[in-house]
Amino acid sequence: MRTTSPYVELHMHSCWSLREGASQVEELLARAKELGYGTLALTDHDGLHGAMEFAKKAYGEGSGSGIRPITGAELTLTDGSHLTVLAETVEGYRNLCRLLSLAYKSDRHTPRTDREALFAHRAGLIVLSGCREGEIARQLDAGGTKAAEVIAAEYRDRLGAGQFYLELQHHDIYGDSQRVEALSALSRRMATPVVATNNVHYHVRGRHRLNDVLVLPEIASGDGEALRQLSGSHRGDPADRRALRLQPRDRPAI
Amino acid sequence: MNLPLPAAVIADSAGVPAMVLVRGTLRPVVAIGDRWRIDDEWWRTEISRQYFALELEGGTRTTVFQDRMTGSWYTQQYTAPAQLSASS
Repeated sequence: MRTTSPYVELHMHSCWSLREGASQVEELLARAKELGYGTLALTDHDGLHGAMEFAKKAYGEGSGSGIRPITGAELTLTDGSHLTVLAETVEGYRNLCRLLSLAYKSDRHTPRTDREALFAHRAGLIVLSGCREGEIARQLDAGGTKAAEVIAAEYRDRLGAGQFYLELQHHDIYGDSQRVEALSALSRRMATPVVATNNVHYHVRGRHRLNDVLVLPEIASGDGEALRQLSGSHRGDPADRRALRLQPRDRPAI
Repeated sequence: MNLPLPAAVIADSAGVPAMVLVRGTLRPVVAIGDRWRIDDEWWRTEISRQYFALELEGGTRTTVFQDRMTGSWYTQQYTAPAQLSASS
């Protein structure tokens, strides 16, 4: 009998993230089952398009994979930063739906979530500080340690104990080691817990090329100038780093 | 142009640099400040590099990478993508 993995992936995109995420929900679930996952979150970008399919195929009677699904989303805030939000309870799911409705109501093409709206609809939600495009990570990358503390304190204090975590990700990209160190130090200073995620974009390594094409359609057109200007995107990620795996990518020994 | 220059690097069994040849002298690596990878441009000529920011005995700092396609080592001054983006 297969042992259930102690690691739970809390940040994962399916193809419903559109232009990022190169695997279908059922492919992610099948791979997670192979790896022995007991629980798995789906956090597509600004949407719950795949959430129902994910829940049914994960745990549906008769046809389910036996994996406990966690419903979530990666929200884009009004400043363009990213935040990972997970529904802990039914009320949290309702609030996540409300937040997304508000985001699409303000602009249906580029939905943005207001931080104040998040705080107003915080009940039942667990919030992770996000990827390297997260508000706190961006501040730390820019050397704004004090500003990062202020933002982290606001999330910690307004969301409440146990509802906010600093998110650590390491994809072997330049700057990841320093960012993980800075977030870990912030965690100690702010008495705020950390959680490691892998920001999964595909179920197996071989799907990275499709993901690159989705993220950078300029690849297909061979537009070198456009590619050059996209250095802040996922371009350059080692291919195996965003595939579903049994543990988060650790900081390499240095 | 910040073109890579061929380098003589002795690595340990894990592929981590242990000695670097500088002006005819092998210098031991005393610290690795960071390491990162770049995998890119598979749609043209694929690039896959493992970079190391090193401190050598005597205090010299240098950045080297191993070309994962050929196994060869190079030195190259490295500018972070964000800095590149900001300056463009």
